[in-house]
Amino acid sequence: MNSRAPAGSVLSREPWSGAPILDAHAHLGPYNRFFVADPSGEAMLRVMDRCGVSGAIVSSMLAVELDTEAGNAETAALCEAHPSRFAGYVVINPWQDPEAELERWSGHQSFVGVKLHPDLHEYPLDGLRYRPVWEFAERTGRPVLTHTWAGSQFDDLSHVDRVATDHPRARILAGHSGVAPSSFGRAIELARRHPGVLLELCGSHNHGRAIAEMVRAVGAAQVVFGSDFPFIDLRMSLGRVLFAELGPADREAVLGGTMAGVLAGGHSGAALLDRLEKDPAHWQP
Amino acid sequence: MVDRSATVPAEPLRLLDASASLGRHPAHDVGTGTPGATVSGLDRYGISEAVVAHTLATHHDPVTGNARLLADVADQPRLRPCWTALPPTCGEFPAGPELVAQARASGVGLLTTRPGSHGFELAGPDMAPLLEAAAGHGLPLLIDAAETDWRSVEQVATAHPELWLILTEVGYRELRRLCGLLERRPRVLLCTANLSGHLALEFLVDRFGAHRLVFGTGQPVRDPGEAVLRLLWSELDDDAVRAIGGDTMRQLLAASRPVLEVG
Repeated sequence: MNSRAPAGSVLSREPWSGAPILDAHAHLGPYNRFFVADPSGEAMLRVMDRCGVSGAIVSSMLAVELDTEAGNAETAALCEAHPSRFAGYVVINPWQDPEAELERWSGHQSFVGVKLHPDLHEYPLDGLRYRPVWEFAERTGRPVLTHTWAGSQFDDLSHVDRVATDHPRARILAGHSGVAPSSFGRAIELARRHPGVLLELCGSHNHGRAIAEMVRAVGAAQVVFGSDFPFIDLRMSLGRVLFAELGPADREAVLGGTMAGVLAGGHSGAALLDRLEKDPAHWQP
Repeated sequence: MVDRSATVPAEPLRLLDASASLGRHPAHDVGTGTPGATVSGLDRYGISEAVVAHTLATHHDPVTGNARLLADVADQPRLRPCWTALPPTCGEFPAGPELVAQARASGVGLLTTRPGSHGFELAGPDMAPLLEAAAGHGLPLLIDAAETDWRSVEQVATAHPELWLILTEVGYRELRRLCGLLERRPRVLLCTANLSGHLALEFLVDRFGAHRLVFGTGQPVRDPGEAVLRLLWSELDDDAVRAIGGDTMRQLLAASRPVLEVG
């Protein structure tokens, strides 16, 4: 498929064969509030192969929902089973000893960043208990993906603004860019103020129009594709990016190039990144 | 499930969008929503044709909006009209059988209704004559899941077992409720607009058959790229994709019987 007019290539049903696609916002495992048809890592890999997605950065739903230690171990197991396809975010729950959890996994080669979900953990993104995360992020260069939800008392875009102000060297992925289309303007302003903030695109209400507007406003170096799968099907968000009115270079950056650059700055040693750095031209599933 | 090499389609896939809309929108940047702009959008996403409602009907005045819709699609062979229905309780709309007769005479192959936004009950006596008439004439009803509740859908499907009821915008959180309904009510179908659960499309086809799903995008509020990529890059074989992509909906539209045939 080329990067210009995707309809014909999509209709052919052949997977993507362009520049590498890297999913910056993926999960793993079931979620208690609704049925997910098959949330296993193997099914995720199958979907990635079907679509031509090269790699995904995952965080365990067990870790997000309930138990960081057990869930992060689940992420490590998936990444170890498929090291060239998956890398992990360490989920940090502010109520479950953040420093110990960071320490437990910081040397593990599968983990390339940190995932926060302030809404589910009912704790504000700029609260004191998250301080070890921001210190870690600034020290290592590894990105922090945080859930954001416009209007939330825990992870509104204003919380990201305060954290980015206090920790200017941290690379922060604003997951969902606030979710609501009415928040995307604020997300753009946030990214303009803070070069370390990136706008991540998954959610139920995004649109190719908004994605193109984000890229026009802040540049593709601050916009990254994420899907939220297996929470939401990967193809929902991917379809928006593939059909968005973007130039070829911008589309390739949003699909994977920008995120690959962010991860390379973290020097984690993950096999997924190794593969990308050594052979980017042939980095396909 | 994928075996695309085994069956080469005799005809190219022709996507038919069962859930689209013309017109402006008060809360989304959808542009002018003219028929010409909509048809251009279909080309961009590889969609052959669309069944469209009009936001003048869904968001302002159903009577005026439905008339405007017919005028807008009159010279647009790729757009088919979907009327927005109200109960006849206040005299805005004719009684159910008369409305269905008018719809059929006007070439309307699909109805939609918005009980949540327009302030009436989907289930119960006010809408029953219309739903019964629609069922009798094979005229399907498209309804946004957010406009009603599961209990009402179940009641309607039970009270009118011949009615083709197409649920759209189901999202990714409703499969536990949805599957029981699909099991019990064979004429409840699903539109793929915002059918967004991970592998939910494949799961539903495997469990209930491809004939229970019809392609739709929810455009222009929703990005058509979601539904197009979701279906085309699914794990389903080409026959299932063709059925969902348009064949089933075309059969439903064709099966809407002219009122004179049964009257």
